[in-house]
Amino acid sequence: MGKFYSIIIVLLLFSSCIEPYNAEVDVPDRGLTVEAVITTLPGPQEVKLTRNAPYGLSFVGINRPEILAKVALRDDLGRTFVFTESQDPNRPGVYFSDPDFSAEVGRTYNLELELFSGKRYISRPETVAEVPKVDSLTYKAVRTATTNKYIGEVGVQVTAHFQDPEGIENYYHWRPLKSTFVFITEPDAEGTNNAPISCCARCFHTDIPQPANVITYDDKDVDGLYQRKVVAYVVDDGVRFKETYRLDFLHLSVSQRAHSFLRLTNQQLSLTGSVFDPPPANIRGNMISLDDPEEQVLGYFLAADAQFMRVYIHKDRLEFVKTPFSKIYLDCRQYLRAMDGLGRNPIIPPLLPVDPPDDWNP
Amino acid sequence: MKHFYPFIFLLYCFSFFSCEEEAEGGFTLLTEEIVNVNGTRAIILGRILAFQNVAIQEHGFQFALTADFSDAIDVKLGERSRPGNFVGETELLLLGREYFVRGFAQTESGLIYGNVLSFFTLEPTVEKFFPATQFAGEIITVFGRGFESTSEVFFGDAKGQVIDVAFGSQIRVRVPPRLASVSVPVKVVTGAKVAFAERPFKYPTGTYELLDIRIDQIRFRNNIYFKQGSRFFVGLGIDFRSNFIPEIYSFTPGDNEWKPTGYPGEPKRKAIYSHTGFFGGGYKGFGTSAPYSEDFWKYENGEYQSIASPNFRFADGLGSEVSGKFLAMGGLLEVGSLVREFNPLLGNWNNLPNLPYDVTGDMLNFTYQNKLYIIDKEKILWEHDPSTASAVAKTVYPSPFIKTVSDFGGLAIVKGDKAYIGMYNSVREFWELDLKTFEWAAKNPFPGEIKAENTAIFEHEGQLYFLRSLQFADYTEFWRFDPDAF
Repeated sequence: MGKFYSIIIVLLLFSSCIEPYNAEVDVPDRGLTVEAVITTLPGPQEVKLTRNAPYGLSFVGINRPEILAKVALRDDLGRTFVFTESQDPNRPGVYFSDPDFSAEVGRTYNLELELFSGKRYISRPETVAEVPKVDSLTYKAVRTATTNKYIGEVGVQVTAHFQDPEGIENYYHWRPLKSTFVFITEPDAEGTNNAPISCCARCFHTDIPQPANVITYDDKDVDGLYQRKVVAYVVDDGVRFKETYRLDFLHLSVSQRAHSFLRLTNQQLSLTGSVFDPPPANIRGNMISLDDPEEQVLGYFLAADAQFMRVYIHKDRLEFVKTPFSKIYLDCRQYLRAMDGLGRNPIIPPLLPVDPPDDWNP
Repeated sequence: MKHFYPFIFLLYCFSFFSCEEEAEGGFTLLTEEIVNVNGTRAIILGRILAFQNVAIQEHGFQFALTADFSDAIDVKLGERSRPGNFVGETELLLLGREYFVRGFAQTESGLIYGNVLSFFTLEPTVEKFFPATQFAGEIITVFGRGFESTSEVFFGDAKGQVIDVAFGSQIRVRVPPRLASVSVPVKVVTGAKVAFAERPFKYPTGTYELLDIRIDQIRFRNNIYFKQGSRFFVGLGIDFRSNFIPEIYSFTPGDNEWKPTGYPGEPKRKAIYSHTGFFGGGYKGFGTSAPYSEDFWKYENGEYQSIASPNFRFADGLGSEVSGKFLAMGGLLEVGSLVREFNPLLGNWNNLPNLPYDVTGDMLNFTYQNKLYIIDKEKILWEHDPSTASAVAKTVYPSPFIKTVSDFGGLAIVKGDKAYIGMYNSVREFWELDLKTFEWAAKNPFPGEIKAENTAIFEHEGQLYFLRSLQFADYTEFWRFDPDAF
């Protein structure tokens, strides 16, 4: 009997009242996001303002445009350049400078915002440093190992060749632009039910080069040396390199602060989930709320000297491409509409052009 | 060696010391960065560095004209417990002076200051104002820098009503009534400083006079007009009852009537014509299948001379004389961008490159320094060099167009380096365009009857003359416009 009581006592010792814990997680406000790249290239320059949305596994919201804001750029000479909101209904929340405005090398700029709600923001100053000009661009096909040991990733690396000036701290950034490529389809291919449409197997398509790496570089260890630096990488998805891919990008000189921001952003984008990843970080941009310095504004106001770069990547000059390439049994003009699937998009996508852009000069 | 151990130990201890000043209370105060200086405004960023929360009763910045911070302006941001950034802003600075700034924090144990930074405030400057000509009571924008929110704008001695000051660099101001001169200096008074604009502001000018020389019983529509020497010519087209007008009338300044000239050709409407005496083409009838009038003419030495017809049909298009050659352009019968050139010395027609867009007879055009200027339906003024087929968009007509209401029927003429453009259908606006700078200046609006159609415009000895066919009276008015009078 004594044994029984002692077991009961021991059991009672291990028991406790369990109170459920209801964690109250703050739902963050839809903070302001600033995307502004002001360069020395001809204008108009562009500032995009949005409200960020919660990020989750499922669709939880969209980045709403911040409309009716007052946007101005100030320089260290006291000049102010006012931006006006786009009248294009497809581009709300985008603000443009005068077409004849471009940043000047040596000048320091602040971006100043006043939202419709009355909240005011200003960027920390960004000084435009001269960018050393690129002498030439080369490209080559590369193969990268992936988690699938049988299938590697194929892509094209673009290398810039330029002289880094001695005795000057330089911070480089290469920003991909919308690029054009020859889009080949196989509407006449055997085994399809489509009638042959030989007219329309070759169109021109545009995309932002993928993957969206943020490539940035500093000359801390290589000051004054001639540089051969990989500045862009375009993954071969089996469609992009069937003939010619015209890659456009900007060669930029950025400030040290911008370089740090971009480097950290790239680090976060490159997380793979392995134990060797850097810890997730909260990257601060350079916009400051004048009403609440604790408020975090996402994005960065970047002012930079820029050189526009363009390279035509020819399939026949690549050592290898992705094989087999992706066959698309379509009239190439209809590609975007076919991708729209059920046609839920209220805006009917345009037909792809069969004629090249006016400045197509491979 | 043992004798050195105490010294090594001391050295080791000293290595943990540093000269960084840490405030009592366990934090460091930094005056981190001058974010922006503009006019009387400065924005400064400070930072409190600490490993834990701090007890600060008050913090902020001090601005002063001297490094010893006597008579400092305090920007107070209140109490604070968390370390991190803080931002201070003041608009109380004087223009064109050097300032010193430092952060401060008040704790229980005393007042702590951060490092000192210095900066210069800028002198106010007026860069430009737009528009350069405006009516009293309307608004112009003065662009510059260093404008306080209490800035005042003067037009000569008259003070304008400031609507708002944006970003310290743009002042919207209502133009005061004109006192005496039409051209007055613009100055901005901001704080104790005054900034002048480089160029003067101009009130609109231009006087209209209805002449007592009207053309009775005739109202022109779809007509032609030109000037030779000091003689004005107007004619052909149809009247308001759709009767063809078979005659061309002329007027010599100083006369008191318009006289027929004995035109020998076909009556026609919507002919193409230069303002110098070439004309031809057009329709001989009405409707969609109206017959084409093939004859082309040049008025020279007091007589009409028939010239060759082009291979293409031109009706409701544009005509112009550039470098002594007659250009026929566009219209509704052939390709709307087609251009053919008549060489009066050789008497033949040549092909020229097409225009980059279609043109019709209701678009305004004029020539200046052997270049052709056309205002299209989108209000864009294009400059064409017909020989090279280059087309450059130079400016945009400043008044609004209402499609099919006020985008046709206007007048355009060149006087010296200025073009006078406007009075489109149902509107009174008339503009002066500087052909050197492509800046627009408003002229006084047309004061006469608005229900009329422009028929012709001429220039003579600095004055503009124009004809308007009234809709509800059976005659054509004859007006004189002095662009510079007020």
